[in-house]
Order: sequence, then C-alpha cells, then structure tokens
Amino acid sequence: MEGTNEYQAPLPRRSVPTDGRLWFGVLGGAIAWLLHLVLSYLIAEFGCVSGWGEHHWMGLSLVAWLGLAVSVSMVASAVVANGIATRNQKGFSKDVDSETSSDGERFMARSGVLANRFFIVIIIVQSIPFVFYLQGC
Amino acid sequence: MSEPSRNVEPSSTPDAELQQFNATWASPRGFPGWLSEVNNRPLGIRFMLTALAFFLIGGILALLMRIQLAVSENTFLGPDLYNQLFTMHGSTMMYLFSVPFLEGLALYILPLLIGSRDVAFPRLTALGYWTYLFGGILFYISFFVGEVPDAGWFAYTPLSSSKYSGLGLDFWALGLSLVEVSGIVAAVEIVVTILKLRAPGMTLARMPIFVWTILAAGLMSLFAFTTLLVATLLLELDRTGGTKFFDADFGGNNLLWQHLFWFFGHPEVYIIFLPATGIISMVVGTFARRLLGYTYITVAILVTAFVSFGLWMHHMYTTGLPELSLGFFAAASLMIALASGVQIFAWIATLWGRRPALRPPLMFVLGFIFIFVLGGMTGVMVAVVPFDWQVHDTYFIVAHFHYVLIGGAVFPIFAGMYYWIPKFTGRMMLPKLGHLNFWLSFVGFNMTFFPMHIMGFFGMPRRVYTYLPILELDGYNLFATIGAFVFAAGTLLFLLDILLSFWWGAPARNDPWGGDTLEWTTSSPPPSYGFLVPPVVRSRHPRWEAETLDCPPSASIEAANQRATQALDGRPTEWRGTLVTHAVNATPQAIHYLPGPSYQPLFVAIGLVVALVSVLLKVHLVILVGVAIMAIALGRWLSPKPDLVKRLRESDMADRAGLPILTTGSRSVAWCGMVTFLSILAMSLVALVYAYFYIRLYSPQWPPAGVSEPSRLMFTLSYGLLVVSAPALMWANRSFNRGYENQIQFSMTCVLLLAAAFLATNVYAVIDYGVSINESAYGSLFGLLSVYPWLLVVVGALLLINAQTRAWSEFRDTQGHMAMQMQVTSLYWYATVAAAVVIFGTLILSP
Amino acid sequence: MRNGFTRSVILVFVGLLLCSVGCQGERVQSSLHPEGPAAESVARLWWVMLTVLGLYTLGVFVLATIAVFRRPTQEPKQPTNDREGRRFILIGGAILPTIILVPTLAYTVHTTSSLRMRDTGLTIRVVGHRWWWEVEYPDHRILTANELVIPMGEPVKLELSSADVIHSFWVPQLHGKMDMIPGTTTKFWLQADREGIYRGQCAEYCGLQHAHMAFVVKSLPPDKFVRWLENSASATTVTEDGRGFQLFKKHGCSVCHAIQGTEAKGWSGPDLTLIATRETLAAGTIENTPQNLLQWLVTPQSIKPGVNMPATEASAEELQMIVDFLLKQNGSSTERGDDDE
Repeated sequence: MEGTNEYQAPLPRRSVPTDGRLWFGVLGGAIAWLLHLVLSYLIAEFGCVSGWGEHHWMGLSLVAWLGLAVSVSMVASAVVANGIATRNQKGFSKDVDSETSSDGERFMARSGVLANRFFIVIIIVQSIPFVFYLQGC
Repeated sequence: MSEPSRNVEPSSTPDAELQQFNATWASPRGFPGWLSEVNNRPLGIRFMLTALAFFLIGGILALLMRIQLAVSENTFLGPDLYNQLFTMHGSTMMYLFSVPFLEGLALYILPLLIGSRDVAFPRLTALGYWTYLFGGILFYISFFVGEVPDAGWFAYTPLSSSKYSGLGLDFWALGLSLVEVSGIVAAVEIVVTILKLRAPGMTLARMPIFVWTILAAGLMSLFAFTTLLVATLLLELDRTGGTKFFDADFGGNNLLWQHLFWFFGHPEVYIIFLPATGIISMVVGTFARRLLGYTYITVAILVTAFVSFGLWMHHMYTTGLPELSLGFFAAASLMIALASGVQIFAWIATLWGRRPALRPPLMFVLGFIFIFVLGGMTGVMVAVVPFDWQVHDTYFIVAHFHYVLIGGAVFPIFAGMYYWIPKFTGRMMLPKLGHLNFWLSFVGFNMTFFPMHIMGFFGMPRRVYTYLPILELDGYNLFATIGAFVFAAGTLLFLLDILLSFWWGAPARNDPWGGDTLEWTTSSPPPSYGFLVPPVVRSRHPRWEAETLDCPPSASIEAANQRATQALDGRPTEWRGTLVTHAVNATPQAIHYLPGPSYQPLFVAIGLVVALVSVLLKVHLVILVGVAIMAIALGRWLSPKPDLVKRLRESDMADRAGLPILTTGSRSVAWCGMVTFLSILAMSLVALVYAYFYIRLYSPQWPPAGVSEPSRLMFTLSYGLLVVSAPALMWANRSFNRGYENQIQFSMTCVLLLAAAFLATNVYAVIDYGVSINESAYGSLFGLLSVYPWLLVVVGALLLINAQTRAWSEFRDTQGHMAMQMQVTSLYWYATVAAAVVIFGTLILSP
Repeated sequence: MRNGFTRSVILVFVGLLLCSVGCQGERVQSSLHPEGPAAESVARLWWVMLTVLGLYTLGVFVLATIAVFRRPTQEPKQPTNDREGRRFILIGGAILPTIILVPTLAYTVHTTSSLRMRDTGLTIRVVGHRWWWEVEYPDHRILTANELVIPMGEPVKLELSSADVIHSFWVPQLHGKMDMIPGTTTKFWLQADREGIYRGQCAEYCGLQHAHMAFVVKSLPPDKFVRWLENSASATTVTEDGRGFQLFKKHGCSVCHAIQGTEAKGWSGPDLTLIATRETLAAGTIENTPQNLLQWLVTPQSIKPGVNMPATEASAEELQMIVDFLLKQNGSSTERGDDDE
C-alpha cells in the first residue's frame, strides 16, 4: 500500500539497502528464534505424543532428527540475518552522505546486529535439550 | 489546567487565533462534559487514580490475608472468604492495577515525551477508560451480590467451570473481558501513536527509553490480551453456553486453558515490567545526567518482548508434559535473564561515578535494583525444571513473583510518581515523606517477602488459608505479617504526600529535575494540547544537546521539519490537529485530524456492559439490546461527518505545512489502526486454531465416535464463494483507482452477493452437518470456528455497503478520504477471506 | 538510628537464611531435608545454584553500591559514546550470565532426564478428590486413603489422576510435584531411603479446603512392608452384625464410606477398611487418636469447614461405639504399634 499513493517527499528515496532488507536485518534473528521455538515445541509435544520418539533412523529418533534439522536451519537463518544486518550497518555508516541516510535507519541496522547475535546464542542454547534426548522423548 | 504553555519556541500566532485554538482544545464543561472527555491528559489521570484506588483495595485484601496467616490454624477468615480474597487480590493487582496504571501513565506522558498533542485515537482512550472502569466495577459488584470469584486469578479449569464454581466466576470472566478490551484498545492506541505521531526529527534512534518500553508493551498486549480474550470467551461459553472445550468427560482438555492462559500470563508480567524499566531508565538518565548503552537497552527491551512469548510452558513443568519440550522453555527462560542483566548493568554503568543526588525517585530506583535482582535470581532458579518441581506453587513462588512484581513494577511506579507528579500537579512532593516512604516500603517489603522463600522450602503451598503447627512456620509468618503492615504504612505516606503537596509543596518549575526529554519543556501542569508549537527534535536528549554530533540533520529535512511545525504553531484553530511523521525517520508526512469530545465511547462501553451483564443474568434477549446500543454508537463513531470531510478538504493547513490532511496508506493513521486491528484478529485466529489442534492431539478419535465427517464438497463450495470475492474486490479497487464509476458499483455488488452466498451456503452446510456444540469438544470447536468467519463477513459486509454507497458520489476522490476508506475496507475484507481459508483448512482439509 | 535499624534488619535476614539450613528440629514437609534420591538431587541442585547465582547477585550489589557512592573521577568528554561503559555492560550483563547459565541449563536437562520414571515392581494408583486422596494398590487389592505405605530403598511407581478438579501430588522430602488432572493419568515415582513418615500436601489450588488436603507416606523396611501388604489384603474380620457396624450403617456412614468385605460400599468418601492403621484423619488434618476421631464425627465442620462430611447425630455412647468399631476392626489395630511411632 505504501507505494500506491506516493506523496512527494522532500527528500530523495535511498536506493540501498531496501526496506525489506532493513527489516529482515532487524527481525530476522527474532523470527528464526520464534520459528525454532514453535517448531521445537510442536516436534516435542505433538511429535512425542504421536509416538515419533519411537521411530529410529541411524541410531537417532525421528524427533531428534527433526529437532536437529530445525536447530541447524534456524541458526543458519539467524546467521544470514546477522550478515545482512552487518551489511546494512555499513550501508548506513557515518561517512555515507547524510542526505540519504537517517540515524533512524542506522540505528535499526545496529540494533539488528545486536539482536541477531543474541538470538543466535539463544537458538544454540535452546538446542541443547535435543542433545540429551537423542534416543526418544 | 489550560494555562498557555511556555514552550522553547514562542508562538507567533495572532492572539485571536490563539484564543480559538485554546477553545478548541478546552475540556468540555460540567458533568455531561466530563463524560464526553477524550483528551489524553485528563483520561490518563483518571486511569491512574482509578488504578490507585484498586491498588489500595487490593492492598487491604492482602493485609487481611496476612492477618489470617499470622499464626497457624487461625480462624480470622474462613476458607471461603480467604479464597475469595486471594482471588480478588491477584486479579485486582494484575488486571485492575498494574496494567491500567501503566496505561494511564503512558497515555498521559506519551504525547508529551514524543512531542504530539494527543494520542492517535482520542475516542479510543475514552472507550478504554470506560470499559476498564465498568470491568473493575463488575469485578467488585460480586462482593455485594455475595458471589465472589474464588478460583484464583488464573482460574484453572475445571475448578472454574460451572460445576465447581458459582456465579462469582461469571463476574470474573465478564469483568475480565471488559478489562481485556480496555487493554487491547489502549495497546492499539499506544502502538499507532508511537509509530506515527512522533515529533519531526525524533527518529527511532532518538526515542526516550520509556517510549520504547511502552511500544514493546503495547505490541505485546495486542497478542497477549487477545489470547486471554479468546481463553475467557471459551471459558464463558463452557460456563453459560454448555460447550465442552475444557470438559474432559466430553473430549475437552484442561491443559488447553493453562496453555492459553500462560501464553497471556507470562508476557503479562513483562507488559508490566518493561514500562517499569522504562521509568527506571528515565530516572537514572536524568539523575546521572547521561544514559549509557542506549542501543543495548532498546535491544534488550525488544528481545525481552519477543522472548517473553516463548516462556509460557515454564508455568506448566508439573503437568506431566513431555520432558523434552520442557527443555526448550527452560532454555528460553534462562536466556531471557540476559536481557534484564544488560539493562541492570547499563544502569550501573550510567550511575558509575556520577554522584547522583539521593532524592526519592532515585531511592526507589536503587531499591528496585536490589529487589529486582533478587527476584531475577529466583526467576532463573524456577526456570530450572527439577527445582521448579519442588518450589512450584509454594511460598517460594509467592516470594519470587512479589520480588519481581513489587520490586520490578511497584517500586519503579513509585519512582516514576515522585519523578512525574510535579509535572502532573505543578507541585513538588515533600522530600522527607518520600524518604520515609522509601525506607518503610523497602524494609517492610523485604520483611514480608524474604521469609516466604524459606516458608516455601519448608513445605507451605500457595493459596492455603491456614497451615498446621507441625510445619513450624508460625515465626516466619508472623514476621511477614508485621512486615506487610510496615509496607502498607509506606504506601499510606505516599498518598499523604500527594495530598499534602497541594498545600505545602513548592510550585514545580517546568523542569524540576533537569531532565532531558520533551515533557520538561512544557509548563507544569501542561496545557491540554501539550505543545503550542510542535517541537523539532535534533538529538536523543533534546534538553541537553541542541543536536547530535554524529548525525547532523540535513538541510532539506530540517527545512521540511521547520515548515511543518511552523504551520502548526497555534493551529489548526477550528479542529484539533497534530503532525504525522514517518515511523522510522520521523519526517513529516501528514496532518492528523483528532476528534473532539464525544459520548460515543461511553455508549459503546455501556452497550458492551449491557450485553455482558445479560449473559451473566442469563436474560438472553437483552444481549441484543446491548449489541444494538453498541452497533448504533459504533456506527455514529465511525461514519465520517460529511461537513467535516469538506472542512478538512478546504482547510488551508495543507498548503501552509506542505502536508496532506486526508491521506492514504501508511501515512494515514486510520490505515495503521486497521493494520493493528488485523493483527489482533490474526492472533485470535491463531489461538482458536491452536485450541482445535491441541484438543485433537489428545483425543483418541477425531471426530469422536458417533459423529460423521463434515461434507467436504458442500464446505468447499461455500468457502470457495468467499475466496472468489477477493479478486472481485481487487477489481473494484482497480476500477476505483481509475475512476470507472459503474465498474465500481458492479464489482462491489458482486463482492456483496458472493458474501451473501457464502453466508447462506455456509450456515446451511453447518446446520445440515448437524454436529452439536454441547455433546463434544469437537462439536464445540466446529461450531465456534464456523461462526467466526460469519461474524467477520457480516461486519465486512456493513463496511462494504458503507464504502459502496459513498463511492456513488465520491468515486473521484482517489487520493483522499474516500480512497482511505476503500483501502481500509479492502484490507479488512482480504483479512476476512484469509481467515476463512485458514478455518477451511483447519476444519475440512486437515488430515 | 536509620543505619542501626537497617543493620538489625539485615541481621535478622541473615539469621533467617542460616536457620533455613536447619537450626530447628524436625521439618516434616521440607524440600531441604531430603529423604529420597529425587529430592536429594534437587536439593543439591539448589545449593549449587544458590552459591553460583548468589555470588553473581552479590557482585551486582557491590557494583551498584560503588556506582552510586563512588567519587567522580572526571567528566567523560562524550557521555553517550563511552566504549568502556559498553564493554562493562556487555561483559557483566550478557557474557558472564551466559557463562553461568549454559552449564546451568545442561545441569537442568541432565537432572531432569536422570529423574525420569524408574522401573519398579510396585504400582500405586492415587486419585485426588476434593479434599482427600484415594489410594489403591491394584496388584494387591488394597484400597485405602490419605496414606501411602511404600517399601524403603526402592522406587515405587505412581499413577495419578483426579476425580474432580486439578490437584497436585507433592511429598517434598521425597520428590517434587506432579499434577493430577481430570481426564488424564500422569506417571510419577517415589523413593524413600530410610524408614520414616513423610508428609505430603496438595499443591494445586483445588477449592475450599485445599489447605487441609494432606497425606502421609510411610516407608517400611522390606520385611515389614510385606507383612503390611499381607495384613491389609487379607479379608476383613469385622462381623457385620456387631453393634458397631449396625450403628455405622444406621447413622448413614456407609452411604459415603466403604469397608471391604461388608455391605458398606459408599464411594464418595475415603475407604475406611484400614482406618485403624492410619496416621491421620481428615486428610492429614488431625492425628488419628480415638479422641480426635470422636471430635471429627461430632464436629467435622469446625475442624475442616466445608468438608463433605456431615456431623454425626448420635448419642455419646453410640458415637463411642462407632469409634471403637472403626479403630478396632480388621483386627489390625496392633499394626500401628509395630511402627514405633
């Protein structure tokens, strides 16, 4: 909707980074964490109750496989988000022309970096329980 | 109240216009006027005073309980009365004091902090207040009826079902629904206000920390309160409608209530705690004359807001859920401590070596740090699953959450009150009383709650009206009771202090503490519009630094900001107006029309109360009266007055400021409000779908024995009709944007016909399916999930009809108010279709 | 004056804290006085956490105090850009806690999984009622109430459920809690390492008399336990035509209470077959003595207000006969003497 009725803004619109990348840089880690928690919870409660803990493949239970897969992919997503946030931060750094970069966006990029680091740590920590339950629930 | 403001930048508007400006912003007179008030400042004060009254009542209940527990096997209160008192104490403190108080504080101080003249939807402020007030009254009427809620503030099913609890629980559930509406409404208000009404130049990087915390709490409230609203709806349906969501005998699930309740309940703690930390940051920043780690603190706030939704299961460690799933929640519960740790260390670093003056606000901050760190430590401990198995539901937990909630919320609130009351009343409080209050509160609090840790270890469960002498807990309990009275004496001193300050308090200057934020630029107390000239912000600390050193404003932005604020200097005079700015960069985007005094919020609230009370009294026909009152009031509220739109179109403000008044998309506050509202709808749908699959997971057979599968063909056809309406509406929008008058009418008619066809076929299909909502949890879920899109569609149809009628004459207004209405209506309709698709997938398609 | 006051208050707190380790005599319901392996490992967990987190907390307090009272060194030139401050925040608030919390989590998950269900020989079913506990030994056809007798030194499996609202089963000296939820059966286990009597109590609020919903767990050495099983399972020796039983029936007791082997088959109150051997009456509310039982029959509502038990309207003589009948039936009145109370 934003673009449909564009009011003539007094400042030129920036080209890079785009809004989408900016927001992904800020929220990517948080969303990865949220997905990790929701999926882990669903795997653990819905999976364990449905008996997936009893199916084994290569020595690990189905629940453990799923959990590890979710953990690895979510850590990876958070790392990607962090990479994007770091690049955003450079894109908005001080030496870039202040006409085109506002400290609001620079701040978002910077907080994205901090938040993503935190969420990477928390996703890893949150995967620890899977290690203790490799054989079943 | 309405003395002219002494802003930094003096007004240059002629006196005659200034007078008209003041008249426009003046509060309506007399008692009827009092009822129609919508301005954020008087309503904020009302919120806070009402919450304070409930705080005192809740405190008296607590003292009565402490008297009962002072010695073992006491007979001061019977078990029935004690159970009622602890239920009401918990409910009052959680629902009627802490959240509404902080909402009131936010509503009052928020516009002053961000440099706007009011909040985004003034009439919603009033609606929030009335629903809160009526909800609170409904809670307490139960005492006069003699049917007091007694199932605890958490109302676990089946104890709270109609089988085990009387009418009191209906008062509880319905009163709570009203308070939830109030909380959600305030959340919409706060979120949109912060994102759209900040002063030009107040980018996200320059928002005061308190604003960040209120924003986080507002966003959390949207999701948390909505979940609770769904949960209480299910409970009330079980109690009065005979549904079986929580009835284990009919396939219902009692743990579902706990999941939903704690999905609300845990964030709730942070909804209270985060704004409280925001107050701490404000006070610490002012007293240390700097604030270190701004970015760390804001990230910590946002992380807390996020992660708090991932902790709910740690209230359910003892319910026998799969061990593995407990592990994740233990991890999240431990790691959220980091966010609090960062904040604590940021305050310590800020205060380091600054020799802050030990005046009452700072004393309470230091008391907060001491108490909250202890509460945080026990919080980390109870996240540890096996340890929680021992201390869960014991006095250790009582100690823990009072350390967190009194230490983490009441002490900061005291700090904030000593800090801001001079701004509210124009009088300084008496410092000696403040110090005495601090020492009484601090010592009394620790005397009361520290021994409770030990009582928990020695086997005292929560919520017991007495205990046996063989537990040897008399000494600890007596000590705690004495402490409670010391603490209460401190609180009384606080009230006395407020009263006495009116006579003996020195008049407050604009900025008695040397604070850095915008509220200190207004007079004490501030005028109802806050700022005669909207301020331009050039740094994080507008009162300390003229502009930030590392990001000087560009000339073009500065010029746009200047033009916008100069245009609003003492204007608009005929209607209340304020600036809309970009959510991230705070560059001016539009001028927002703020409605003046109105009775409609009161009528909506009354209609809601009538409907709910008739549910309670089981006079079902009167529900319709309530709904009718509500519908009429809402209709009058929402329908734009034709002369108003005309006046806004012709206003010279747009030319002066170079900004539109009636506008669309994300620069329209109404559009932002609709997006926020839709996130509420989305959350309610998520909660319902979760309930469906959760009950299904623990059911041996689905649908239960004796119930057939729903007819796929019929439901597919019916939902298909609704899905087709989406492209039809897209077509209507395209026609509207291009100004094709007849196509608009035709396509909108198509949408409406499809909606009607959906309703007819769907109602028929559900009746034809014939599953009873009273015979199984499956039936109850099927019924409720089927009705959900019906309601959405009916409301949507009304919106569509409204837009279509208006498009008849105003189809050319493709940039202004009509366009906004089309956008908002379409947004709602697409969401309705999406919701219906999700429900179709859940009920019919899911394997 | 103020400092003196504060100091004395601090002293009281320290005293309380130390006291919690055990300056008083017997703690019948304390999780810090463990008598079984599960409670022991949780108590150990607590002392470890207290030490580590306590040190961290103390560190925060010391830093906060220094921060406020320290003399200013110099005005930082750029207060909002203090690199050192940021490092301090990061280390103290995030890195140090992570170093503490990650091992804590591992310890948590490890302890959780080490406390999972044990393989056992004996299964006991416990059903929560408002406000008492129904106890059944399904393999031995024993039905009793408000008292679990277990063999010491070996784990016992529990199947917990509820007849009405949610209750929670908790014997602090042996293990943590497990909820009893209507519609589901939760699995749990207990083990006591020594012979003794351990008090338990309902830990989930369940209505009016939640406070008086307690029970005891009695652990016996294996030989005594086997004897208890045999005695309890043997058919009742009560003669139905005895005067005591007639009065029991006449005054309506048998409407709610059952005595195995007789026509008293009420089920809404506790089974009374083994009442003579029990330690307590009214679900752990009063000690089981003839005097107390008499009191309980006459004024149950003043002992446990709101309990479902009505007052027994009978003459003093008749009441005494009912008491004698209840406490002497089943020929097992000697059982309690065996346990050396």
